[in-house]
Amino acid sequence: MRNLAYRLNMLQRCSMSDEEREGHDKKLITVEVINEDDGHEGEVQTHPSELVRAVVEKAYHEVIKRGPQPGDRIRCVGSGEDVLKYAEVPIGIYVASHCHSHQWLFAGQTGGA
Amino acid sequence: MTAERPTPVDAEVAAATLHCHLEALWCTGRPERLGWRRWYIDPMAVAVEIPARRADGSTEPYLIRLGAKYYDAFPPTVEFVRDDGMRARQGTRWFPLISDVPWFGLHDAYTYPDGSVGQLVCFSVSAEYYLSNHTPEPQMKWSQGRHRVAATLNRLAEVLQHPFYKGPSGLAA
Repeated sequence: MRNLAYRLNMLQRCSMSDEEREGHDKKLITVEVINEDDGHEGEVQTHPSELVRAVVEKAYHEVIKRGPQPGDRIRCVGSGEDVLKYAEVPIGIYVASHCHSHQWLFAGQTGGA
Repeated sequence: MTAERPTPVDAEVAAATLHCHLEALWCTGRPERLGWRRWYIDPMAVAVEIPARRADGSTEPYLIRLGAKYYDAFPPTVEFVRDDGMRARQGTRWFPLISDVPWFGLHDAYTYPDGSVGQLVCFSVSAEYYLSNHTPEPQMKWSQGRHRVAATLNRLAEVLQHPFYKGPSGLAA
């Protein structure tokens, strides 16, 4: 159940020479996005200089397929930390220093107690 | 504001929908990576084993029965059970201690509006939450299409981890 961006990127890679492909892949960072509300998964690919905030927006648009809502939680698999704590950090630095798994969990607000 | 209460849906459709959503979730491979296992009890119910993990890394498995009675107009029914399928009771190894989750509560003997007494796994992705007359904010409310049984299982797996999971509520079998 991969998303459109992932499939397009794979098609783009196929039309490149080996050298071009190596350079292309080095430039991109892939984040796996898991929608905990419905179980769907997808990927977003982005350049290391992109801010985490922009990658989150891209993940909502391409994988979660809805806009952000109050109370949404986005956590890094492994550390469990709130991804948005690092909203203004470039994604390249963020995954190298804080979220080695490259996996994010999206969950809408939950009520109870 | 009056709480919207679940009413049973067509049993055949409910069973097929729950089955389909569980199959789709298992096909991602994530449940197996997390150590979840499932058994179909009957067409309307499935048992899922989720390993709970303490701060020291040790794990204990818990069994949760999910029922399709209101699915997926409302979430599945949710109940912690023993290995013989009976309701888990506080003070046994089948009933976990979970604390400090602002959006989750586990009650051993809750009196429902109809006078019945039973377990209440209190979060907005269980049918019992709505049967006990809770009124969630619009963004918390179960939404057919947006939510699936994955929401229920993912949140249960989350609260069964450190720092929320404190161990079994007792040693009795």
